[in-house]
Amino acid sequence: MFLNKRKEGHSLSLRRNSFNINMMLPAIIFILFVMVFPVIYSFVMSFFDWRLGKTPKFIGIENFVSIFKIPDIAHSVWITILFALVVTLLAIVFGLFLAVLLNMDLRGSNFLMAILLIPWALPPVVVGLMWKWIFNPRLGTFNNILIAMGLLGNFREWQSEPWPAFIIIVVTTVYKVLPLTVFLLSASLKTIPKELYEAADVDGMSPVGRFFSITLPLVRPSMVIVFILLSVETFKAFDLIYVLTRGGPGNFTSVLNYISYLYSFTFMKFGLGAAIAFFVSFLIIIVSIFYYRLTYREVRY
Amino acid sequence: MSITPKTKKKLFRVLFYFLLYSSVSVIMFPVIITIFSSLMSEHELYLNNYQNFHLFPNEWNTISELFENYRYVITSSKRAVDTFINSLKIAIPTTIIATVSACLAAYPLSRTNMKGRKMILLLFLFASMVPTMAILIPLYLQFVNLSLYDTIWGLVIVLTAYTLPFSIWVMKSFYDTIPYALEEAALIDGCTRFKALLRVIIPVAMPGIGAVSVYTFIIAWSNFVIGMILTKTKSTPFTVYVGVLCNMENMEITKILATGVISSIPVVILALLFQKLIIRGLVEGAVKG
Repeated sequence: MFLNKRKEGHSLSLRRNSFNINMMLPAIIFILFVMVFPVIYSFVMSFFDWRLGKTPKFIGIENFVSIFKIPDIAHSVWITILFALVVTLLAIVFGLFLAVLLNMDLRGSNFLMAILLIPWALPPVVVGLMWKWIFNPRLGTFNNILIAMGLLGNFREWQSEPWPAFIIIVVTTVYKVLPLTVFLLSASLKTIPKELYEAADVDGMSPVGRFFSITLPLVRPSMVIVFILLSVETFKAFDLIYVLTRGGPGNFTSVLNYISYLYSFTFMKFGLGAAIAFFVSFLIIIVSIFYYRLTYREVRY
Repeated sequence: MSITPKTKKKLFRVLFYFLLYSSVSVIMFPVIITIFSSLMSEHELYLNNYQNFHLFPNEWNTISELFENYRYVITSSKRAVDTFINSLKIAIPTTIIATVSACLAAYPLSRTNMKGRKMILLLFLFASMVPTMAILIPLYLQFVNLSLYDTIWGLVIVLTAYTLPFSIWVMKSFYDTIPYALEEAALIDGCTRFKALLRVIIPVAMPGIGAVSVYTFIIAWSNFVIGMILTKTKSTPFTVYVGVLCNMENMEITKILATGVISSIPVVILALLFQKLIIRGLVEGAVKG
């Protein structure tokens, strides 16, 4: 290989530098051509009236202005943010609960860890398919259980009612992102010194008290990463929505990323689609800063 | 009757075990429902409502009857087989190329104090915050021009770049755990840096390489939106086929579910085989970043 030509003398700093760059070259080429250039390209596109079969025309910030003229866009922005917040909150609450359970050295906690890997590894489409099947109006388990328990008189089509459809997407997304949340939180729980809990035991503190006065304050700084990861995931949600509701009923569950997909690949208005995509990244950055401020504070033990 | 601290502790333990196993059942519930439903015949599924509920299929006599839906998908649906093979053709080269590039790129990042450390970290954050749509719009247009649209290699290139930043980061944190003295000895013996990496570091970093390649395979296999936008018919991956089936009204539900189960088998098996490695890799990749 081309690296072997430089056999003689590897101590010169210049040679070392070229070695470093050669090593990183394949990765840099991939990332440059498939991630960096396209992002710059589509940023430029967002200032053009760029449609299929027409010569692009520079229109300045008009695409960003027309985002706010899309019918029901206010609803989409609101449902995107609500979706991200609800999923993040639920994932953190259940994630912490499971992470604490996993760290108690119970028999079977390794088993739970293995079980959690299943929803993590499952293709999102399959997770969507599973939950779509459970909420199937006539045959699905959910409706049949409710009817058997007498909680529901008749079969209901949950997917075609606005808030139930939203809740279905939330449940499915939480199910999909929960494993990663648990893995990260349980790793950060492991870094808490055991002596703190022993001291709490001597003081006769209850497990609930231990959780709120030791566990929670100490994992808070590392929760920033989890918060940011989750909001990136939820703002970019597409697969599950595509499979479960296709943005419906009406456009009740059309989050911004789905709108971006519609405008780019259904209506073929690439410039506007790109503008919406960048609007989503803007929201992600704002929310990440918000979480950073909220959770990150120096902790001393 | 007063509760002594000891019985209180025991009660708490019982409660915790109850919570642990109920969490396991809640997580497994949709998986089990899906698998058992995929084994039923359409006729049995329609009768299986609240008046006559059974979880496990019971209208079968031989094993081949039980797996009738799977047999149907594999033998009579050419599209399913073709897309399954496409997915393999996409995921395997992606895994190899991405893992090798990550192994190479992460090494200087771990061993030198070059400025790239911060740059890669920023690139990784930046890459994860840009919505996939922003990248896919220009890629779609350029792929049509370069006739990479609807080809296996087009998807391999995109998926490699898509998984690389995270893989590099995981690989770097694995290299960081290997003591520098190990390759110093090799360098003194007259190895070049590349040979030292190949002969000394790579064998020790095998767990990291395993984690990265399994992670890449799972992402490349499961990805939906990239395959949906950059392919049409010829190179459609299996997950996109499953996604199309999900919204089809006229196909039997049991067969759709069976197809979904088939598409999850490779990734679930890999995840369970390498569970410790994957969890460690995920945590290192995210926490160190």
